Amino acid sequence: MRHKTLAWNASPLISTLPYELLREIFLLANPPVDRHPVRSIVTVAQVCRLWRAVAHDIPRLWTNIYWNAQARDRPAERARVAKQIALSGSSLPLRVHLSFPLDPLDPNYVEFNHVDLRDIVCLLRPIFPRVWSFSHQSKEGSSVLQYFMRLMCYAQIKMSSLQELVLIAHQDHSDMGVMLNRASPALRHLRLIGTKLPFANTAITNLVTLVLYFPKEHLKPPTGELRCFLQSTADTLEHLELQGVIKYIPALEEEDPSEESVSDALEEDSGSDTQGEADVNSDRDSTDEEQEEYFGVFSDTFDPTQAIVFPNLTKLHLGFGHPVEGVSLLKLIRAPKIQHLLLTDMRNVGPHHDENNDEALSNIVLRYLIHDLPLPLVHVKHLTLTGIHYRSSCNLGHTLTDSCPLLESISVVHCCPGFYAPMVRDVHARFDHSDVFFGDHNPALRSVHIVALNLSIVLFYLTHRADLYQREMGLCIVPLEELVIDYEGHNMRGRDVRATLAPHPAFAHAIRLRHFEGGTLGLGDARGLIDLQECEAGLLEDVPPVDVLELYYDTRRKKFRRIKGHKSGR
Amino acid sequence: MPTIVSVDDSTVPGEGSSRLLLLVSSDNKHIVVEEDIMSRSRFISKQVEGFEATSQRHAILLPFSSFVLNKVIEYCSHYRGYYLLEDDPDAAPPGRSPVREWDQEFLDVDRNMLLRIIKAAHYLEIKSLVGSCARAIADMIRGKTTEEMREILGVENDFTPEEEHSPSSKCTG
Repeated sequence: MRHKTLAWNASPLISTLPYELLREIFLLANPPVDRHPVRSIVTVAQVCRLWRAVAHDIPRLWTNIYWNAQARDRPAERARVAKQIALSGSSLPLRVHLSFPLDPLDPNYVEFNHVDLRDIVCLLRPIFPRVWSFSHQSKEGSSVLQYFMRLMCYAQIKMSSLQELVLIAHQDHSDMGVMLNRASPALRHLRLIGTKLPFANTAITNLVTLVLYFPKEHLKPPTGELRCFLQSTADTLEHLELQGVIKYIPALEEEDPSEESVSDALEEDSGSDTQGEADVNSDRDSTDEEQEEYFGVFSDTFDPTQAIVFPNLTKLHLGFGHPVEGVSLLKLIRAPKIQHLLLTDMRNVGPHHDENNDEALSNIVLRYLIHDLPLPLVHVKHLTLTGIHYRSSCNLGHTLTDSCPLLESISVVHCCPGFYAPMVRDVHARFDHSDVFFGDHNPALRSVHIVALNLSIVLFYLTHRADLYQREMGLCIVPLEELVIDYEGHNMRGRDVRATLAPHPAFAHAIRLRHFEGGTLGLGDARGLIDLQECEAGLLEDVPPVDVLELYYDTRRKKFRRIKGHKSGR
Repeated sequence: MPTIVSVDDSTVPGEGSSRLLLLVSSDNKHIVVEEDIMSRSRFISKQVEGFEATSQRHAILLPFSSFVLNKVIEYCSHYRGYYLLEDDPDAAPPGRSPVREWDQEFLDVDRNMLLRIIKAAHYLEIKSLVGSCARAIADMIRGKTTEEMREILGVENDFTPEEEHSPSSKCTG
């Protein structure tokens, strides 16, 4: 004991940390999927003898080669570090991430292109059979990836263990298909961001994950090619993400004479307060007509009679730059086992989105999803809607969630004017079940995540309707485990945003508010766990009552923090 | 095993549901704490089981100062009655997660204190506190150069010049 106590007091303190603690720290500092780990385990191994010994005893720390052309290291230092990892003696699979954000107009670009890249290829050539994950990121317009792949082809490099390939290049790489076909038999996860491949000549079997995102029109593949490629992957795919994959021709849209009449028809439709079956059918009819007109603005679309069946697909993310494109994608895909569905209207994502665009078409994706049932919704457990504008009184949003009896969580992000607040003029007017977002049609629902600007409306509907339903109709409302409201991207400074955080206790045990800044927040008689991390408020109206837990307002740091002495609990 | 000294039962009342423990720090401070608070510590729990087996109650001598011990007790008091996955010996190891908000504030201390807390937590076998401290230290060194790491954590460079310039080689001796 005496000996142990003496050792305890030895100096310096860090040197007395037990081996297993240092090991844990090093592992935590090098998370396997973090893009910004410790600059390199080589750096850690240079600190002192003890650290080097510990680092060398953890082979999996020597499996990440992260080459960032704009990192603080000098190129020679980068090469040295990468070489140390490559030659570390570990036989574990390697993850390689190359990042080349250099501008082609940069005077150093040419030199970098030819010298640095060749060094990398020479360095990686002997270890490429060990690489299981390869990701490459380069600036738009850069030909680094093309050059790199050519070097690899010349060197006849095969990536026989490659399971994951991520290319973020914003380039047409028509010569890469051959490489993928020939050299990567183990490929299971393919993510292409802005990187066009010769899809017609590329056949990759056994893919599990496929992500295709084409933010640039000129890089979008012909629909026929894309369809063939998807067909070739359909049997094994479990996760599919398609964003911006259909070409759009705006010139035709301007000449489209039907737009005005369609808008008028939909405005009339949304102005009515009807909720019945007949109105639902009329919605569908007008939408179909409207879709036929709008399909003309795309270069080509998918024929719904030739939809592709994905028998094992469980997660589907569709992102579209136009509602009709969304419908077109839905027509392409048949996925009987879908559990996680994400829909993103890409125009409405980000701080500059226009809340009023395409009002006439804002509902057609949801309508198609609900009424034409391109996807069976009965298995959906997680639903994420981003930028899906919704303007109607017939509560399509609620109908959608009611169609998902197994729904466990829903995330509603920038869905204007608010998925929770359909335009019902008088909240005391007639209510039916579809007005309540989480009624007994969603008995499994446990988590709701909202990213919205108008907290007041959201909470008003949550509390008011819950109260009415419980009091007047005797309905049992399943409480949520948590409600998350996220204001990310919206700074309320200068706006008269007031919110009272007092939802009905039936709705949530925990409320987590995020990114609330500059508004006025009242706590009312809120109870339960109030979690306001990452929030900032100019004024806290009410003194938190004793029942408000996990919260205090730090005037010095101007942030909410936990009240000392109080503990959260249920 | 730590040294255990016998104590008078009148000094450490152990009746009822809130039995008390006497902890003695390395600076000879006697700290009485409810057994329930310290139940998060596997080390203390094992000691208590030993007491029950011998029907004798003892003070537990601990090899760190009362200042550090009080910090650990503050942590255990805060999470009294909480279920933390990391402290469940039957649970699978938790995945990587950020430091809890309260823990962040709790660990907003100087470097030496942080190192003393992690060593104490390791000694007392409080895995959740070890994890939070380790994440805090990992955050401190992430993205730093070798020199910066040495400076932040007060590590001395004990390499020979030859060893320092060949980082892939393992040191001997």
